[in-house]
Amino acid sequence: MSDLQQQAFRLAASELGMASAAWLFVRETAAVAQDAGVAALRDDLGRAWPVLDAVCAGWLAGVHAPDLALDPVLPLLNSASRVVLVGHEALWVDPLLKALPPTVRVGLVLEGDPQTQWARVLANHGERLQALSLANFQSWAGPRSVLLTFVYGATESQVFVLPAWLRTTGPDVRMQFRSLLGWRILDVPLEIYPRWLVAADVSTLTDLKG
Amino acid sequence: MMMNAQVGFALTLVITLVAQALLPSHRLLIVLTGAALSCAGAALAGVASVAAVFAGLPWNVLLILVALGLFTHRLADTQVFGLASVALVRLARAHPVGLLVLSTLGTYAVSSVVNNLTALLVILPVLLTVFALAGVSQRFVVWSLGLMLVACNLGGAATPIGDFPAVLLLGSGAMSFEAYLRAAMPATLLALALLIGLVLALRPAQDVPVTPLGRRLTLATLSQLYRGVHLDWRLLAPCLGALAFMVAGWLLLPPAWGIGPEMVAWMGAGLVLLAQPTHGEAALKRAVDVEAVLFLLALFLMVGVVRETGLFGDLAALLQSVPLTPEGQLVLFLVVAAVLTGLFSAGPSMAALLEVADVLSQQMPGDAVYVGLALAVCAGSSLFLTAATAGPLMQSLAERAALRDVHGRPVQFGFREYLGVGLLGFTVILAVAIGRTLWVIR
Repeated sequence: MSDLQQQAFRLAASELGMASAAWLFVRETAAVAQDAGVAALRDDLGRAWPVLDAVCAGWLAGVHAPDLALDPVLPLLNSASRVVLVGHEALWVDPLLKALPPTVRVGLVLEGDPQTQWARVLANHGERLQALSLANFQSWAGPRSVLLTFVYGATESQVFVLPAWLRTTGPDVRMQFRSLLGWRILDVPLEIYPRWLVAADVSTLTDLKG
Repeated sequence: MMMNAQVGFALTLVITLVAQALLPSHRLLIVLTGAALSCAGAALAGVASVAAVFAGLPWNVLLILVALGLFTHRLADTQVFGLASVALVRLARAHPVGLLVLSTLGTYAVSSVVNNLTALLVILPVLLTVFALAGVSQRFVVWSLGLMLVACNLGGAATPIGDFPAVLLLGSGAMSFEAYLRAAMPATLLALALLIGLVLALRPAQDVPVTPLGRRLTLATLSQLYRGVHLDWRLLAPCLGALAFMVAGWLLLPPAWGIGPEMVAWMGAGLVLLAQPTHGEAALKRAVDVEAVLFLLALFLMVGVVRETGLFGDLAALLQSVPLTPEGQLVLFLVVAAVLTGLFSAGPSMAALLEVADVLSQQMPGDAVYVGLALAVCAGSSLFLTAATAGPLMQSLAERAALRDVHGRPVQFGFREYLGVGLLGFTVILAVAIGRTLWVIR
């Protein structure tokens, strides 16, 4: 059964984002099998999916809802005209797009699991979210442009982010955007090696919020 | 001299068809080369001038295909098919048997209105997503995807606008829209019902793991994957209006007015494109299936040259000289048509065999001959995974989904895996085609 669960979670994570998929799986599992089911889910999939492991651990410790507050990041997007997302987390992107003024253009760098159906990811946001690639996202650079990624865990010197972040934040890019914002969406410390993520130097970000 | 020409141009046609079937990645280059050689050869041998061959092309059929292709493209942009597929999964409560039956019926319904490739492209991603979420077995994937492919062919044969063979009948004036619909739809529905019944009797879902949590997760995840996808009513309304306009035109316009089915399709597609001019212009520039148009154009040219040699009339006469009753001769024709379609695919077979059918229809009821031929071609299209263009597309989408079974083994869906489903589909559809034909001419 674990292979099938892995396949299902990978599909969900590729389009919703790892944290969003983890919350979905944990909630649904808890609704059917309570905490024992969440513990079993953690045992089955936690080693392969550290973000899911962290959400399961949080749930079992009493954290039963994600922190979706926009307050920490919205001020940093104030007066921005373009926001480039590196990574997609449905639970956080959906309210962010609603909160941003319609004049702010938002793009998503389509990098991630090769099996991701990006057309479906984008269809959920209508024309509000535009497709970008590693080859052209710099055309959105400028003094009022912000590069934003999701942070899944942090230590004093490092942040755990998606691999795409390292590909987008070379020294040239850092000079082209007003800020490089990390939105910390997972407060539970990662306890195991962060597979599917990379440990980046915290200095690759100009701001870390959440 | 004419006998040599018949053999030479028929051989050119057959060799070209074999070559394109063996080398599908170069099929356009192969058929265009074959067509050029045929046309040049016909002119040099004095069989027909190039102008005469081009004048004999069924341009109206190509126009219908292009117009319906554009209409389909815009209709798919409304998200109606993707959302309908999600609704079907919800209706089935993500249960494997329900999924198998509803996805088959849904594919039949969609492919009766839009072309087969589009039908698969809009339905399959949802179904493969559900397979990945819910978990499947090798056996279930083969039967469910295989049945979908056969349903796709049946849906295409059910209406005069569903697939190329039926469009060719409509465009050639061999049958009216209403007459074809009335004759073909019940037969295809009967074949579909028989197939579903037979497949269910084989219990294809018996080794698929089903748990309440698994089904709940599947439905919840699917809801999230489509959480913000909405029906584009501003586009869907003109699409439905244009569809109603086209169906009414095909059914009601008197032939004396001179507005044929191709004009109706042209105006219907035009209405849809004009509804959102910017997107319409973009669709015109990017969504016309040039590959299909060039492929069919080349086929028509080669078949046209062979027609000029009189070979098809001679073949029909040969068939009528076979020591069988007229019914037996027609059944033989249908069986040969089905097998040839399995080998050469629907487009080439229908284009060539329609010429023979025209001769046969002078001796027997046209309804029996033409609908029988369309169903036989449908049976042949279902025989092998490679017999219709939808097969390789399905194989490619299934491979890309990288499904694994309960033991973690990769799930395969290719030529070999499909063969059992194909043989069953071929047998059932051909049996219905023969049975219906004999019933009509009795």
